[in-house]
Amino acid sequence: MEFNASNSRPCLPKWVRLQIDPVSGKPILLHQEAVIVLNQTGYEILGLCDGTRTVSEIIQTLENQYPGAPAILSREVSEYLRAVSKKGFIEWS
Amino acid sequence: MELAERPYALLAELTYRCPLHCPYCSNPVQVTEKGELDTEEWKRVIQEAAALGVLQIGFSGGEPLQRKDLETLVRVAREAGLYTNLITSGLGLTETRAKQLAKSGLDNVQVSFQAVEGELADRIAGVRKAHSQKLRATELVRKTGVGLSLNVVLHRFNIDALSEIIEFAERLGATRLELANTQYYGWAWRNRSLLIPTRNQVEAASQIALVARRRLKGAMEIVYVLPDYFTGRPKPCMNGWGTRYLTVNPSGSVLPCPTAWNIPGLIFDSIRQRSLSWIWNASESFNLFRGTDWMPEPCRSCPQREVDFGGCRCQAALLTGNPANTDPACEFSPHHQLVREAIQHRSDEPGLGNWSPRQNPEDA
Repeated sequence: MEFNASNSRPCLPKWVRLQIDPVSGKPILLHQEAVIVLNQTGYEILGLCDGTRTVSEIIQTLENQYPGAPAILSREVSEYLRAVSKKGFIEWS
Repeated sequence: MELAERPYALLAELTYRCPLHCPYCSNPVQVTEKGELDTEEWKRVIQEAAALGVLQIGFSGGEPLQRKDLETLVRVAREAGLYTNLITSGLGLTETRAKQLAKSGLDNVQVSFQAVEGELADRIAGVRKAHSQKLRATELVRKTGVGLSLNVVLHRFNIDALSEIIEFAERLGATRLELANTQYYGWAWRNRSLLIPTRNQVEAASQIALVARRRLKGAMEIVYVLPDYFTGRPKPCMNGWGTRYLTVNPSGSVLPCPTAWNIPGLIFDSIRQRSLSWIWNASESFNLFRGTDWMPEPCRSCPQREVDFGGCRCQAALLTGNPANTDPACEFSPHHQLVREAIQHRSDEPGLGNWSPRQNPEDA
């Protein structure tokens, strides 16, 4: 399930949880055995992966939030999603 | 891990009662403590754990579905912000309970399987039709959308079918498969000579697991618990004593590892007398093997001392009588011969079913 076209919709599966660590205040991804500490960009990208937005729409949303370097942002988002997807933490529709 | 040291995961052993009688169960052979924690006591444990920084809870046992308040406890854990995982045989999971558990916020269910082939699986579990009930349980979990993972304990009687086991987990739609070579504690210790596989069996299985892990990357995670009797290297047990994990047993004793009860002379404080925070920070049992100061040679001067932490304290206690010894699974341990002998003296008789089946505390 390594689908990452700009018109496909990424979604965090139900068994993966995105939240803020109450102790450190850092964003984390939780699953059965692991706690993965995210950076702020990662947290914001994954926060938009709810199965309703396409990759292009996620990029658009972030570009609106951070006007500046859209070309870099676009590549960053795609690469980040590909990396997370390879670990099995994203479902595509 | 970029977060500071603290407990991350709590294993909540809700009960030692279980419908299965697996000969490799790591639960105590004799349960000496009496009286399971009640709902209110567990609620307190969960809330105190969250306050300590715990992020994940595994509801385990025994069979946690034997507890009627499981759904309540899942809800309490979820409200406290914990990731909730149910570690179950699958027996006792009805459609109503599956739906209720999902509604309470359960994130994942880990179902154990004994084998792929039903008749063998039921022989190992010691219960007729256990396997078909487990299959039904996985269907119910899939229907609710809650994550499904599988656990299979490997031993002499099922390890040759490892490829089939992996395909089976794929077919069931598991996102994670834990392949755990038997660890010899509790009932497994009692049945060790019958359960221990041959070196050839272990080497073939390890290769199969490695290849499958590569093939399934991103689709199904394969966790392969190494057969430490055969590898010459000890397990980095619990990632170091008292560094990340807490276990609370059915009557409220708090342990640094689920099998630490078998270390003679060690006293585990109970949440009935103390707070979880005090036990984690100040109790003798949690501090005894923290860090590296307690280590004897060859661990003390070993470059691996903060990689494997000297291995497993429970295994050192069981095999050598002293929990502060280097884990005999390590080839540098002066007691490594004990592990070699166990492999040499493994039983060659056909043996299926000739073990001591795990018994429930009340029948024991």
